[in-house]
Amino acid sequence: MLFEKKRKLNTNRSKKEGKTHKKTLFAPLFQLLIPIIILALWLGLLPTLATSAVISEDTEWSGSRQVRETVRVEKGATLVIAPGSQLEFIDGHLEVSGTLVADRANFSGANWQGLVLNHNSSETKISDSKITGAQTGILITGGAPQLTGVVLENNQVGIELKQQAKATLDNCSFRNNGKVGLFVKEGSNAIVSNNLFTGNGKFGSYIYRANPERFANNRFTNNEVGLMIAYLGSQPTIEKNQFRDNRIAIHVDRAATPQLLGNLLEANDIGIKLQRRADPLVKGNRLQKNKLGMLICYSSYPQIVGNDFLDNQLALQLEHQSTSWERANGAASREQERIAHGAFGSKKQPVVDTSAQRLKKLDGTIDARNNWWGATESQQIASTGTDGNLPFIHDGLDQPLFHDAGKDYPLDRVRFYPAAQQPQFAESD
Amino acid sequence: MSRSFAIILLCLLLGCSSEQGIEGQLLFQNKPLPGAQLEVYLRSGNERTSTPFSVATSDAEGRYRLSLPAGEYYLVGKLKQQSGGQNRMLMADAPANPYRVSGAILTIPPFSLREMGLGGNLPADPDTWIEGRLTAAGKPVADGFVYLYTEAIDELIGPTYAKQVQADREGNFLIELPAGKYWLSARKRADGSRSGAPQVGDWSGNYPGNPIKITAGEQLHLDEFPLARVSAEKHRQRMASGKFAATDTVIHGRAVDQQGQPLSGVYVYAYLDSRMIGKPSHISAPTGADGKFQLFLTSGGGYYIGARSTFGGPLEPGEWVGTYDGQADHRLTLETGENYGLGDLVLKEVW
Repeated sequence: MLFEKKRKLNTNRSKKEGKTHKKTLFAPLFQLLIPIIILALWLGLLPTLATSAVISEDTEWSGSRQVRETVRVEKGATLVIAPGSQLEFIDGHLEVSGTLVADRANFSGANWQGLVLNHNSSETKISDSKITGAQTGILITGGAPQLTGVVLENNQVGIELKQQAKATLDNCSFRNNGKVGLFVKEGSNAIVSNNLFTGNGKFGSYIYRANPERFANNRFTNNEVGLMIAYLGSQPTIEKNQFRDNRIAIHVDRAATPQLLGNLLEANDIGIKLQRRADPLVKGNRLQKNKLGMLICYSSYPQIVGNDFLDNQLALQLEHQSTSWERANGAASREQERIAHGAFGSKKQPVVDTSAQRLKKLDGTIDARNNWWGATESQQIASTGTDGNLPFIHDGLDQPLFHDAGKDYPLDRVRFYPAAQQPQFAESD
Repeated sequence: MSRSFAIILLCLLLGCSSEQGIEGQLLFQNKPLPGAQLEVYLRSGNERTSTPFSVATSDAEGRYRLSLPAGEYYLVGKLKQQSGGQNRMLMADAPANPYRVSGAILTIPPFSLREMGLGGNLPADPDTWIEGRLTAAGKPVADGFVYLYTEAIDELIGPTYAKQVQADREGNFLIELPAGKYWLSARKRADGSRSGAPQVGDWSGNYPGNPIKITAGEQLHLDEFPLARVSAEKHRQRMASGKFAATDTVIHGRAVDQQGQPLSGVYVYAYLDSRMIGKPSHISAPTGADGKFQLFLTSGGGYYIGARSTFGGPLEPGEWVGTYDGQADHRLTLETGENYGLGDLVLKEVW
């Protein structure tokens, strides 16, 4: 307890003096060194060693600083990190239960744990700062912190949102993170806008059983998967984002039901991939110059309306997609999606509201009426009529059957008629 | 004579081969409760071990069935759920504990689990309460959780509490309760959770005046309820006790990815139930950078071995998960006192 008090005392002193002291047994020698150390710090020649574990009163950090143990900002306390500060995390991390204000600061380390913001209010603001080398750059559990212009680079995960966090992420960059740029989980309803996701190893952003309040005007480039939306209970609105040069721009999987509205998907290997009972509304998007505009597979039945499919090598493809298969196997498949599996594969535990998942009336078709397929393609549609086999759509007319578990199933067909007579996509401001 | 002998022999054989054990149904709010655990103990209350003798999991209709040797058993239903970022525990003892199993399947009447900490199982007497204040170094601790136990078991840690309340911003709390004897514990977790093992940096403590006795119509004003931070050393001690305690029956090995690279932060789990569900009987400490683990067991026998990178909860994308695959059913058998080298346990990342 005495040691704890001493630590707090050190923190209070550091607040007043703008730096942190270290305890020493060599007081006389230390007294001689103090002016030299202060001078060196003033000149910015030596990094400060952060030794205080608990910050319980308002404190300001500035300059270069090496953190060698976990620092906790208690509820009620504010840590201000001054512009230009360089924080290097040798060991430990920064965990904030109070308030953090950081502007133009740099947080770095080698596989360090990252910043943890526990139920921070909107008073926590991180702006124009950079976080690198962390396992998770910023873990936000609950609360509503504000992040503007933050660069998350070369972390395993850039930012993870949990526990219904309502953070605001604006104009941030998620670059070259090993796994995920932005992981949105556990009912988080964040506002995610005007951000850049580029070069992330697995996913630019992954929305898992969460529904961001706003997910708009973001740019995704050169990611393995730009945006992943997966699992029943994920039904966010994804609006007016741009996806270029990703392997898969948007991947909807495992019974997620988002609304994809007004997005631009250009020059990706696959524009939109729907898999395993993913039933989104796909409306008002432009899919152009992709190798494959849209891939629909494994019992996914979206609504596709008011989109532009332009200059894709193939506009739309069905794969392992059959109403007959769904009738035969759908109940078991839906049950698997409804439950959460135990870690080792056999646990069944209901964890989400299943009322949204109902068996639909299926007629062996995918509804893709009233889309714009391009000028030449429109002429083809006009000449072939309702039952034409269009070269830019791969469906049951191209491949009547597919084989699964010892049985043949008829591949569904795409209803494309009537088609729109002009482009539908509204350019963003 | 020989005919009678044959009939007797046949009866004996039938008697020996017929299944014996228990079956029944778990409920919550009068509805079947799937995915819950029915834990079987050999003793009750204070004498209960931290590890159940056996565990069954309820099916989609809340039903369970479990083979058991003849004997007397105490049954407890449990289900840990995650909702809104917080954990909750449903739990109840079977009403007519203990139950005697002898030679056949015994049907246990359906019984309902209750949510721990919501007071559903502890109706208060009129005008009867305890109030107090959570403090640390004399200052109030805001928003901590206070847990009321009816038995001094498991060091007042874990979900067996009868009631739970959250202190206000000034650290004040009030618990309405029936007359009786109680033990109080309190925790404030950094992530704001209501449940979960205390971590380094959390606030934790047991009330120094435990146990507290209260009579009907009485209001007790407690002294300050001091909490202390969970230090790294205290956490280490905790991890070295209970189910983490070192024993002479050990499985050791290395957690690796599919390329053979060591994985840190992996827990290795041992289950008695072949389905590998619910609460494991033993858990290792998390692996370090070298991926090495030691899983200490209380005795030899057959265990179903798995490993994952998180400490409980539903499986989420991004987790590392793996099983011991020396046997198809992931079962590993060792003798009491044996130090078993399992080798590499391969995990893969699931998305």
